[in-house]
Amino acid sequence: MTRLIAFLYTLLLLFPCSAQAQQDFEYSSFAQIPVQHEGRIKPLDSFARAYLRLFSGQDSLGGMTADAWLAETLLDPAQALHRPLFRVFQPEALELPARKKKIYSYAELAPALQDKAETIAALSRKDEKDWSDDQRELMRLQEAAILYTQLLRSFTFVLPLNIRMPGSLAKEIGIDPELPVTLESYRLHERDIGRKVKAIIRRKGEDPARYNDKEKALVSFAFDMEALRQAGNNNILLRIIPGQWGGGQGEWFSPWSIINEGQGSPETAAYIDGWKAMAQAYLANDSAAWAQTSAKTAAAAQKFSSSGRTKLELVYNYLHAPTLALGLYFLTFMGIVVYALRRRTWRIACLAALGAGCVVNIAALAARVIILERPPVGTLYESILFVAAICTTISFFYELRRKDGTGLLGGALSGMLLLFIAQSFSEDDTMKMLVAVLNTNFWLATHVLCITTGYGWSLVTALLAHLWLVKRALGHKADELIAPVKTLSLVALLFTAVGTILGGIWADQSWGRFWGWDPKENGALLIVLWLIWLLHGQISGHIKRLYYIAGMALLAVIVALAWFGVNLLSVGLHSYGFITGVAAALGMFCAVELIAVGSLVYIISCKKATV
Amino acid sequence: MKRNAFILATLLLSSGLYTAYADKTAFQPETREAPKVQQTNIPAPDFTFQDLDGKTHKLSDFRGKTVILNFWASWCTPCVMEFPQMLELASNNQKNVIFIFLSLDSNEQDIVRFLKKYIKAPISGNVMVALDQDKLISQKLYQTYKIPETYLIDPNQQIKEKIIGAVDWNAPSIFKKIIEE
Repeated sequence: MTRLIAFLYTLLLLFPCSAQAQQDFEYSSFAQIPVQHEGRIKPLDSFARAYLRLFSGQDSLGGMTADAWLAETLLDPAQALHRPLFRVFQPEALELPARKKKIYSYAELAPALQDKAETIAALSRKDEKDWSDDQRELMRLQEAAILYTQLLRSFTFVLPLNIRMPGSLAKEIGIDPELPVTLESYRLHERDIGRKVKAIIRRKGEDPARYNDKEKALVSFAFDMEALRQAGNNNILLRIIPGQWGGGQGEWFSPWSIINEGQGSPETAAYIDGWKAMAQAYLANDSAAWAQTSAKTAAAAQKFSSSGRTKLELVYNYLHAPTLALGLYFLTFMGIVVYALRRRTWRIACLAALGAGCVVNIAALAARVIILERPPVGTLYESILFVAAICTTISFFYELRRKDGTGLLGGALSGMLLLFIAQSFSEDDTMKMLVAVLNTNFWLATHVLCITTGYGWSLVTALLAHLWLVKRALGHKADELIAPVKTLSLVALLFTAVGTILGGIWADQSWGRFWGWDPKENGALLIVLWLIWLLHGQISGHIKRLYYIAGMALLAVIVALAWFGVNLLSVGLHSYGFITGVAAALGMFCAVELIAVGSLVYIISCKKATV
Repeated sequence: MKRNAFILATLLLSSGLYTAYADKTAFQPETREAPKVQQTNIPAPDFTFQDLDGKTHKLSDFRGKTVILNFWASWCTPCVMEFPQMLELASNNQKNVIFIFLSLDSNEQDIVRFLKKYIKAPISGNVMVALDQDKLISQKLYQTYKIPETYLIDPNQQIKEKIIGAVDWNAPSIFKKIIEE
């Protein structure tokens, strides 16, 4: 903790501050520079977005793009630490000034965290499960501050410092005292300076009060440089240079670690010089030089990674396809409202909007497959995108066949609802590599896709069942929906059953047993049993049509519990899926569904009784 | 309906049989290799240096021969330990291999003092010892901050390998590497 504060003061004192943020700069070349992060190579743009979202919960910072923010953080740390960045949910707990947006700068946050150093130290010794919400928030901020410090330090090696080398020393080692000092230039003379400092200490001891002005200036200069050098140790976050030799090959290194671990080469020296030129252009607020140097550095980086995937990821980031698809589904829904009034004119337009939404949704998934080199579903967020694509595609073809607006309504509602839910999970979506047990393309492509496809068919079934209930409650005939509900539920059963069995085989291979009554396994089985029960009940005549359809409508609740609910239990072997904070929303959904379906069943029953 | 029931029953039966008889130890999680970077053919940047006899050389003067470029210093214990082995290797391979020892010492006197004190055997003609006083060759050009580090440069002046830290220069693998060049 003390290190955070020490580093804060080092930055404040040693690094010159540019007059203002370089927001009118062109960042497109900077954005495409490759970096190794979370187990894969990605463009700096994705890296910047991930960390900006982690710190501030936003995709941009007061009109500043993620790329502009990262450039400032890396190249002008003294300016960056004054920029409000950290989202603090309870500023009063840290005695931070009350503010409407609750966003605070590192310069404000670091001293506040320093005051809580003892609490933080005590908490770090405790089990995370025993933390209260307030304590969890405190530790989140502490971790964010440490990560941010790593980013701030990334290029301290080559950045010009706001201090001058003592004149006498500069003269002795033969350099111009007016030139800005960098740690890199200091390292050229480090040994000679160290020898001089040792000589002073040998002669006069360690008390600076006994030194003359010249000696004080020399010792102070050497002390500052050493502090800065030490601060660079263990700086590993910004891995922009691939390892060049021996055991380092395949791994990427930060500028500091490439130097500390001997992984440098003439090629990496030239590359870091490119970054240095970028820093100089940035600090000089020279947009032309910045455009030139950043383009040159991005071109040099192509030697390290010229993959088309990086470019595709940039396009994915800029377009944000899931939001675009959500917009198209919303457009479809709005079209349906008009379509209800003017039947013929608007159907084709709605169908086109739904089709376009499907295409964008599927394109987003396809882009992720190419970028991540694995099947499309590996995280909860991806499962929502995939299920949305399944639901809307089924609805699209349903509408093509039936031409009665039902498919449009089902597609628009399911697409909107699911992609809206996906938005709340998108904050954690950094397209990271999966944990070892999940990282197997065969099972991701079979079991996971089977189960999630089953979720999609189940949800469309539930939607049609809802529609049947609503129509009947309003006194309309809805017999045309009975057969589709049955057909869709059978397909849903096939996918969930096969998916569950495949999951068992995967579990057998990974964990040594086919079935362990794990909550996730039970959740998948629940959908299968629910469908089997309803279908058999209906076929054998034990369940009346109204209750059969009500049961199919409640399939949405069963799917929600199996999909999200079991993750809330935080028990079992599916630890990669644990989530927090959705219990209230899930509970609300289940309660609303039960009340709605119950009410509709009651209304229909009453109408039947009256008839 | 019958067909679906048959499919489900077949799947259940086959998974049951698999569970009962499969070799569970055979499963290996997929491992994906991180992308490797092509390391060969990094051109060795040219530089000029002055040996202890005051003669000026350029790296490019030695095109056509294998060059062993070693960064060292007289105050660096691992460097000092491998130095005699490298001299011996140089002596045994005088025809096609050039050894350049660039020192990060503060001045030439330190190097001369070291050589006089510790190196008793005559140094062969294919060995050049020089001072990289401003560290411009080591740190700026070759990004060497920790010593000893040695670059193996092929006759076409391409860097073939960098050896980080001290190694046993009598080892057959090292000899093979140099001779193969």
